[in-house]
Amino acid sequence: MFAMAQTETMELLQAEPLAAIDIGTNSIRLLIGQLMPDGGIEILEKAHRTVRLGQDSFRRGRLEPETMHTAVSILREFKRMIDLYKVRHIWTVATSALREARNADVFCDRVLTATGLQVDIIDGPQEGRLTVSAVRSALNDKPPSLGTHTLICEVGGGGTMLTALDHGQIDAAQNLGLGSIRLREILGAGELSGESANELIQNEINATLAALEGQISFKSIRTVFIIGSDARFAAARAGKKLPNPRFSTISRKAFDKLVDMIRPLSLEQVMAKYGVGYNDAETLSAALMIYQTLLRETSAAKVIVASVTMRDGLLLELARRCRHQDDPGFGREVIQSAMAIAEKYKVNLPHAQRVAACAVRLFDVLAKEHGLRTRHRTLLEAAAMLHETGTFVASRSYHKHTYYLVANSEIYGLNHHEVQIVAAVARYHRRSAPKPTHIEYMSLPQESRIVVNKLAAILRLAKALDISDVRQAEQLTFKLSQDAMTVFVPGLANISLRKRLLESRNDMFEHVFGLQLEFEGI
Amino acid sequence: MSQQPDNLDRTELFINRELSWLAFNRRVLEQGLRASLPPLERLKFLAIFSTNLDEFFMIRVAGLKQQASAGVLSKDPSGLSPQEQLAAIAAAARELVRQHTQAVGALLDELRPHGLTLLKRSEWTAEQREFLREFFDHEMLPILTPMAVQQLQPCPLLPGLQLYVAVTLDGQEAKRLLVIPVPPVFIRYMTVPSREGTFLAAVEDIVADNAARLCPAAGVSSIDVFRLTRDADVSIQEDEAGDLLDSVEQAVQDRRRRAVVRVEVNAGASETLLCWLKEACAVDDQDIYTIDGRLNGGSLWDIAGRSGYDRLRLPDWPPQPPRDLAGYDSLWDAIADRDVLLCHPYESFEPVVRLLQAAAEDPNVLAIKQTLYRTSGDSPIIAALEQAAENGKEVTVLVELKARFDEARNVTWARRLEDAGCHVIYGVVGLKTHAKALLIVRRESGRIRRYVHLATGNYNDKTARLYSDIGLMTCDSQLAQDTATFFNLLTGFSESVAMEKLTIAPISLRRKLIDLIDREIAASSPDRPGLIIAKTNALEDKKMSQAFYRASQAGVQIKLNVRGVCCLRPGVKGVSENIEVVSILDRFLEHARIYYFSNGGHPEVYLSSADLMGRNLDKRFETLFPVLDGRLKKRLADLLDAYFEDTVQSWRLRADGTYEPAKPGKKAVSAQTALYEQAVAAQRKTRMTSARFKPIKSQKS
Repeated sequence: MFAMAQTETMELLQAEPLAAIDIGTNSIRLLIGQLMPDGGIEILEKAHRTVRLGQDSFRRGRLEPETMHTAVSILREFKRMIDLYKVRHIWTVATSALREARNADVFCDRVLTATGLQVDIIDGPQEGRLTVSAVRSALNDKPPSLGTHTLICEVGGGGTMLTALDHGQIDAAQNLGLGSIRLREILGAGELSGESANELIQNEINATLAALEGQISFKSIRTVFIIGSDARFAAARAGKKLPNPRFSTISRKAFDKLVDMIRPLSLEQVMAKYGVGYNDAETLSAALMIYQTLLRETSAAKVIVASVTMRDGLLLELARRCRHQDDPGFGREVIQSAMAIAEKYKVNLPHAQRVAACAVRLFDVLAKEHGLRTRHRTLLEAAAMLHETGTFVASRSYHKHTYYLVANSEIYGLNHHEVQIVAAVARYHRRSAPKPTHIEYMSLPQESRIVVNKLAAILRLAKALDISDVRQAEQLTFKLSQDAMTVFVPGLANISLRKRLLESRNDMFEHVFGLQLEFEGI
Repeated sequence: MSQQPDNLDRTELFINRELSWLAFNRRVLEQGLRASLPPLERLKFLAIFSTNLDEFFMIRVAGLKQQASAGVLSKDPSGLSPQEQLAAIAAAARELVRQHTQAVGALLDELRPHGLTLLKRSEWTAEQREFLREFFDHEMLPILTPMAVQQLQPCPLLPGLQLYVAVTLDGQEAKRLLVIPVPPVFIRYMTVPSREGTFLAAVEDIVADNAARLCPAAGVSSIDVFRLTRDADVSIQEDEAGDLLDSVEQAVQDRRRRAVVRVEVNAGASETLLCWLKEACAVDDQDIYTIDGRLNGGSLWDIAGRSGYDRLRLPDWPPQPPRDLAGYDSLWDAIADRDVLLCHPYESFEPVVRLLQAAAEDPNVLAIKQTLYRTSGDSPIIAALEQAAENGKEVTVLVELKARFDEARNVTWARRLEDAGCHVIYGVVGLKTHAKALLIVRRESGRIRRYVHLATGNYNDKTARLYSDIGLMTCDSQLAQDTATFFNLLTGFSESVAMEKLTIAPISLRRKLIDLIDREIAASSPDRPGLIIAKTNALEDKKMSQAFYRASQAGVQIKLNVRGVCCLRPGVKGVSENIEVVSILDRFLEHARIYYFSNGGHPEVYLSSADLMGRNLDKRFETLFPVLDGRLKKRLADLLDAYFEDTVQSWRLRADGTYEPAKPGKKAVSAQTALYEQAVAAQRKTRMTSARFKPIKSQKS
């Protein structure tokens, strides 16, 4: 998933070409850029080709051979372009169209065989996070500001990504099954049209939003960002440009006027009147209706259109990986999301926070020993926050309940694979160490299993230390030698600690790191 | 303020496109009459007049005839039906042709004292006649195919644009006709032996002089010459007369294909011939042009281009090294440092060729992409591209085969490029690629840098010496990205993607121009009126004209420099009082497209491959790109001003649709002369500055 090497930012001496491919509902898009030594990204190529993967998977739950064939040949051409620039850092992602296709694995394999591109099927929250990261980067701390209560929203072909931000931090994320292509699928192939079609679409939008009740507090939202080609169309027609060239605003009134104008038009009329192609015209009306309905739910007086895409987020993420940096907001968002889950399952939060604080302190001290990256530190912290989640179900063997509760949660900012790691680390904080008979553990790739072992060992130790106060974590001191580590614990007797450790079978630490543990009180 | 906006659809606001074109060709003719020009320069303009008119008939008149034949009743913006336009064209063209014939005759006479004589048949000496007779018997006769056309059913298809000698024979009952096609392989004007000077004989005269010998039994009553003009090829028509043909059914188009649209015949031709022509060619009197002189004025190029008569031409203006490249050995460095503007033909086109040659050889260059439209096979550009592909670079060339009348030539070099390993793409169906763009991807000091050349003129090193065009070389990353996107679009690699700096027809160029005009209207106030200066080859599009009218009504000052067709009518009260239209015809063909907007004190200047014509805005791939460097914007603004200050070679369009020549005021200023002098001065300045820093070895202590 990510290279295990240095934890510090690497300085680049040369520009590094990067490429992102987004296999979407309606098209495949390519973005090639180069990461400049100063950290900026210069875009080199943009391309997009229509292929209706979503139509297949939304209708039949699988990709048809012909569609696959087209998609593979497009990707082959894109790969040729990528090779021209000698790109080493490529990230190919697929979204809802592949998430919902039963034969997604077959497709990914065909792509790999034909092009060498490894397709990463990402989930909704991750899409959202990438987009938010792109918006943040485009804002670059200059106006328009993100605002205090903000909704970032993108209507895609397969779904609508909603991300609520509180003072710039991600607060909640929802992936609604409201997509412009999906909505058109509801209508069937041209069987319904005109106002009756619009009504049906509107009902579907209203119903979906009603089901959201309570998850996002729309009324408190004051700033709405919208993203995507339909949003950009609205900006070009009804918006005002802002000094930051990647943003425009549209007043609520102007937005309503535009939607009222487009709603009654047939596809052909939209194409003729606005000079847009079939593919753009097809999604326009439904997408704008979704934005309009959302906007009405909030207290925002206008929308801000951001000319960024998830692909910008992909390049930013690649750039960070390339420089071994993490998304500045990433850690906090993940922990916030983990805390929300912990709260939901009535975890003793102060205890969880103490363990987490202690765990990350250990992680930092042991940097040389484990050789992991900052991102793993976040996984550890999240696992610590969540390790007692299972007590919600039963206190007996609660670590096993912890595992499945966490494994099936959506932790904002983490992909599915990372959530599995967090769940496993949380599970192995007590009792048995990982074993070949543990199916979930064995289903992880080897490099992830190593990560789980290292992080779980640290978590066990943190749990055993059971400091009385978060601040105490900072006061822990350590002495590392060739084959031992001495922990200086303020105000604790050696003997009781040793005992607890043995109780929790903390030989795992010594086993994983090859370090004998010693404790001394101070 | 409650005043109703003027109805900008009124027919009187528009000048008919075809008549405006004829007015342009009249200005070409006037160049041929300009006494201040050396004779061979004038002869060149007279030749251009003829070739222009041939094309006009093949395409525009043919299109109108198709409309008329299909019974299309719709009127053009000026309110004329196809029939009415044809009648108006015939009247105007006939008068122009008469003046042209007269001018050619007078000029040929004027050339005689200079030792360049085109002989009449009656002037041939016995010796010359004998020489030509030998030539006829040995060289011509074997490939001549005389036809007794009246007896042939169906009548053989006589190709257009070539000459025919028609011999009317006395028959027993009716007169008979023998038509002898003059094969185009023969040079039109043969040099005949003489003691001094050049004496020429026309090829049709040679045939005519010997024609009687082909039918010894019959008496010859008349020997005449005629020439046919036919409806041009479909592919050419699609582009050049698409506006006319949209409304014509395919069946009519098929029927009219290659139909005769004009017959030219010498004055005093036999009745027998005229009757036969009318019937065989299915034309009426309106289509027959009687020429009291020689046919096919286009071949006067043969005489105008004769070597050894430079004293009868303007002195050559060798292109100067571009000022923006002064002091640089490496083009890469120059372009990476700052944007480079190339003003051809005052400044040399050679750097463009050199850039390609450098790219072909440079191991750091990864890819080259280029559009090619009307270039020549022996062009160094093609050679450089071949070389680049052979050196393993990714070379993509978008070849436009629909460049009119050049197709056959294009195919051969396109094949050559393919053989060398270039990806050759033959354009997009239905959309001619008229944009001129070059993109070079180069890996340098650890990064990718793209070099872009965007221009108003074709990648043709020959025409770059004759056409006034502007090129921009830049490394601007956004422009490079947009250009890359544009190529992806052209090659089918990608569908249309939003661009920031480059605007593309037929996607958004029209809207962009209208938006720019609207912005100028919005920014204009009585204290600070807006200003638009546009330089283009043609303004035919109705919506663009209406946008200018709206701007004029809003008080925006509009200065249009339109070389050819202009359907906009300036000086109409309440509509176009703030619009002036100037046309420049001089030694170089004005070809650049420049659009300037004052934008409330923040001027924006754009260059484009597109004229303001429906076909350019809606049916072709064209580019519009901004010039961003303030220094270059200023240079272009000055260049535009020069055209409106011209008091020698400029014509001003009057409200009645006619053009009046500029009146030289205190000082006679020709824009092209001024621009060339500037280029020379800039070059001299560079030389002097570089000289100043030479080592002081020569100084003696």
